[in-house]
Amino acid sequence: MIIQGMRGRGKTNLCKSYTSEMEPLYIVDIRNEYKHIPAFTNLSDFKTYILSRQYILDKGNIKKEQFRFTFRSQKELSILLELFAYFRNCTVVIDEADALCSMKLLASSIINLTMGSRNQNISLIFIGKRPFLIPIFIRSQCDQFIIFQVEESRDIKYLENRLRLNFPKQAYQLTTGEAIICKSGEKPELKKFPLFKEEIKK
Amino acid sequence: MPTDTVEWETLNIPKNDIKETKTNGEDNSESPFLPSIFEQAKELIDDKESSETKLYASKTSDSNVSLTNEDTEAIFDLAFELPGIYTKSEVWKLTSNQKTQLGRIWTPVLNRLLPKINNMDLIVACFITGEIIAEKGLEYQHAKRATIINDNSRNEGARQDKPM
Repeated sequence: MIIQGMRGRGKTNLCKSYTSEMEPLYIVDIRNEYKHIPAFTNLSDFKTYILSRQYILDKGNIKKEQFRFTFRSQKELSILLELFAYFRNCTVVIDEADALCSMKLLASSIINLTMGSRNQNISLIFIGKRPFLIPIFIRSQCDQFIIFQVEESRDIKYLENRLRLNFPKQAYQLTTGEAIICKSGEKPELKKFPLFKEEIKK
Repeated sequence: MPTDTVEWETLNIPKNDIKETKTNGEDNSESPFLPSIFEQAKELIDDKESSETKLYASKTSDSNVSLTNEDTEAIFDLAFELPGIYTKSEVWKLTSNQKTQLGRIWTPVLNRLLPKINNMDLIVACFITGEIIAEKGLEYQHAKRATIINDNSRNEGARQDKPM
């Protein structure tokens, strides 16, 4: 799945709601936005989790196996993405996927992850503002696009060319929280997503 | 410091107390990991000085300043305006037009954001944009460089604009 749209139009909010009950769930959260779930801030801690997962889940009384990564270095992020190739039966969210795919060091690992995801039963969710920056291999594997408001003409042209669908509403006319759902082989659907429950509490 | 984040309990687990789970290396179908990940993980160099594992949903507690929404937007605009720049050395290989763009975008943003360089959001944004100002202590040097690029590119642009 690719979730795209301009900043502040509801991409992250939708992802938070959509994945709230999914587990195991791992989110590459370079913007530190998914604050409702625990974070690994460095690779060393994640290594410990891999080697001692059950112990940490039990000892930490962790009810939902949902974690995110807020690593500070590109190198650590690169190693993490390589480790994703050894994951299975889980959901992986890559936020700011377009930015990460623009980095040489990370792009090939993200492609490798995508290539292995079907065999290893990994559901992948890519979130970004400008999906044409995501490698075409990844885009071609995507069976669902969720489109929030876009204004840039290049983004709109990309959507028109890529999806070849008649949208129920023009992408630039969408309001905050409103999105067009494009599933493979189905008619595009317009939907308004409510605020994530943790956001409402604030 | 006021925070709008959801509070989470910090877990401090002394590493000495951790024993590898019995399932490591076995094909436990309930695990989200393939067995081969354990060898990969063991090979990772543990360069963290801390003897504790900390899992937390972070407050940005290590910063004494905070970025405004406007700051964050500027940072990420920056990241997207410069998608092809990966390393500091590559900055110097830019074309004249790219330098013009770089200078135009970077200078005002850097001037405004550098006092807040310790904030994690900015550091994260910096590695997205190519680690140009990610190294602490070099930030002002890079700000100067951005200014120089701006001046140079303006001159180059002026030269280019001259009629043949």
